[in-house]
Amino acid sequence: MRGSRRRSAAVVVAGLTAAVLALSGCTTGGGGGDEASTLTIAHDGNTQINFDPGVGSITVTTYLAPVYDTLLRRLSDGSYEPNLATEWGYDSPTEFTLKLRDDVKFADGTPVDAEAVVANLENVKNGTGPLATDFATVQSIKAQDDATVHITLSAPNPSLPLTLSGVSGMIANPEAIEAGSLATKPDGSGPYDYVADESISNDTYVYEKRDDYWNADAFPYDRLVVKVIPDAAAAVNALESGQVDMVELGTAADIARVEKAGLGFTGASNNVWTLHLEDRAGKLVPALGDVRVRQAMNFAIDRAAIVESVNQGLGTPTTQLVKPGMAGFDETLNNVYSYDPQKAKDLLAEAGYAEGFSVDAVSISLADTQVQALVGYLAEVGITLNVVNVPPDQYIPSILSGEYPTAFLPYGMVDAYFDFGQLVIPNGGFNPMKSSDEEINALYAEAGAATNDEDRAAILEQINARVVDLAWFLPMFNDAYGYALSDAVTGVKWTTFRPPMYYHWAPAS
Amino acid sequence: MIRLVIRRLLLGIPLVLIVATVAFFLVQLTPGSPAAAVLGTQATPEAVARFEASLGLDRPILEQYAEYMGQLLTLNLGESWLTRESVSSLLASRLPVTVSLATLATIVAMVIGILIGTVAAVRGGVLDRILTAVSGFGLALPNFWLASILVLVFSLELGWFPATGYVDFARNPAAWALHLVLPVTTLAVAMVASFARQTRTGMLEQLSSDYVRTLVGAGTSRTSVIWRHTLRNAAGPVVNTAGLLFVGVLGGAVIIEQVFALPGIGRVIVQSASTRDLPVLLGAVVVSAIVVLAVNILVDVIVALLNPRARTS
Repeated sequence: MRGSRRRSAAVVVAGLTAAVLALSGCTTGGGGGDEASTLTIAHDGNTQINFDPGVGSITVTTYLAPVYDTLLRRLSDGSYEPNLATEWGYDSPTEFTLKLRDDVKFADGTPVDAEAVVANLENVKNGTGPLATDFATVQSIKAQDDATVHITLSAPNPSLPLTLSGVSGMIANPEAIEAGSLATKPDGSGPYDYVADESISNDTYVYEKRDDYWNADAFPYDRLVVKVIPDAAAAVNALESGQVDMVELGTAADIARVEKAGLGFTGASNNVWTLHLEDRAGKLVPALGDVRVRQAMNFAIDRAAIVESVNQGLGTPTTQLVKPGMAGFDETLNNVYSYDPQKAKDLLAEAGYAEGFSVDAVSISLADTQVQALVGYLAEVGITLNVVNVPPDQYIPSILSGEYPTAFLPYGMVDAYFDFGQLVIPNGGFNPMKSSDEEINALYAEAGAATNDEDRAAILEQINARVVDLAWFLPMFNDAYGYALSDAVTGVKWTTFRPPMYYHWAPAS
Repeated sequence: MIRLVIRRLLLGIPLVLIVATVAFFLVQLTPGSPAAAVLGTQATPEAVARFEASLGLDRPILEQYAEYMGQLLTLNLGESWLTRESVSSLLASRLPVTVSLATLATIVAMVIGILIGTVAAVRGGVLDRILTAVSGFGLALPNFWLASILVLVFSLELGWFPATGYVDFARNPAAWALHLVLPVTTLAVAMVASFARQTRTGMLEQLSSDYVRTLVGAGTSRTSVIWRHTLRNAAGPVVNTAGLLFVGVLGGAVIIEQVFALPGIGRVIVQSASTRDLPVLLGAVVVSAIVVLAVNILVDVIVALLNPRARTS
């Protein structure tokens, strides 16, 4: 009796073992990096994956870039290269002209011509997507002839090349726009076709190279697979175990883990972690109305120590919002507010706040470590920062409500002209208390009217210096953000656009 | 038996409609709007108006509710506001992931738990205490931690199982099984203890009852007494436990789906809630309710099959 029970247990165990061995003997299908010509990347899927560029946002670029050509191509140094457009430029600050290639066609043979481009830009401008605001100043878009598109603006907007090199500049087949079928059936002239049959919505997106693509050499992979992996740790697991070739990462802990595992990382600054001192007129907290108080706050924090202690050494201390390498950046501005608590106390005393003061800051719990570092340093000079954590979906609305004198908000500039327009111009989207400075306003108008990039860059540097001098912000550090890569991929270039454009990415040979 | 099933099915229909109604109005109560979630904070009022008009959100709430319920009654779950996909086809690709995961985890835990519980009850003594302690230890491990450890050891170090992802059973059954080994193990470890305890208690109770003594006295083999007669009578509560745990796993799978990047229903719910994609969210809630209902009916049927006395109640 006992014997038979033991035997049956043994049979069960042996059976399970055999099954596991048999299974582990099989190779896993669909892993990345097995075939030299397949590139598999992980994306957090934190976007609405809709293939209509007219409703797209920057975060959907990863899924759209394989199927659509953009009008221009932005390079990692911030300059632009021809793509569908061969020539472009401002005829005046409010007139912009594009000349198109004449040899590109959609899959059904429809030419990618000026009419198609007009239909697409109209689709974004009149669309229900967040990028419609990029075209807020666009008054009219006209096809002058088959290969020439003319854009008229209601106000100067030097950011058009940037806009046209992203999702807003992606060109879809006008017939598909007309038919309203793009959402689930992309129809572009890009390097890859979307393979719906092999794709699983919100999990796996498969793309296959088009045989007749006009710029085939720039896209060496035959197949492209995007895997949706919402959790960063899971994505790094997939990278480490060879299931994917590339992961986008943004937190210090994840990047440290990737580097420890000996995987490649290429990246740049994404956000400047900043306390926005919104109440520059002192409406809610009179102390903030005094420039000496805002400067004192900037002198009070040890940025290098914060990077070292709360951000695992990743990132670089900064006192300006413009990122290195961007037009308007000035290295010397980073020396304006070196850590000097004594000077901070002196400035506070001079302004009549020797006893300190107390101020609210709206934030989210995700940023608590960094915010608490700030709280500690400010407390040392007598300033009490009361952190008010709000739920994620109320975070931005709370900041924009104008009800908080300061806001903790990591801000990633993409283009200094565009972003200064958001941050320091009275009607800017991220200037909730409508702070206004005559000198800044005048310089900004001048930058908009500048006819060449060098002139504009020089003016942007002046704006930057003025903003730093007025201490409208309390910037802490530039974080790191980028692509973690398996050693099977080469040629990956970082662009100030976070999402990858796959251009010139190649298998390691 | 068939009457029982039909009665339960008919009772289920109003329940699903109530769940859908509660979910519909709960979502309306949450702050924020779909337009804000999709268009971002800098959208112009015209863009917001265009967006809301395109989805019919500018109509009175009761009108929207009536339309939704009308669709639901014709088994139409509508389409996603954001991606324009049909909600039923989206959920049809998601449900098998979560159901595979929950079913396998429940079965594995049940088999192991019944073995442990039975052995503990029959043998008693030190072995009983050891088995109870070990299964209890599994219950105490946080599953996200266990999942990370399993990935570290079995995927990254040993390379036996894939760290993430899911493969459709129809596409490649072996890969399907391989991808589920670690997630199923993670979930099953915590459930084993419940099954073991339930079985042990039930077995101890049954083993001391008169019919067991009669069977033993009549010379029935010990194996037959334990595995055929006693376990069958002790199995009712175990099956009920299985139903409860399965439903629990269905809800808790969201964490495991996250860690192993499985495209299950949990991920759909989290994502559609954060983007306020109401048709997808409601569809997922309704389908989950139907699954829970189906499992409950199944449990009743199994209990009835095991124990004729339960059929009449």
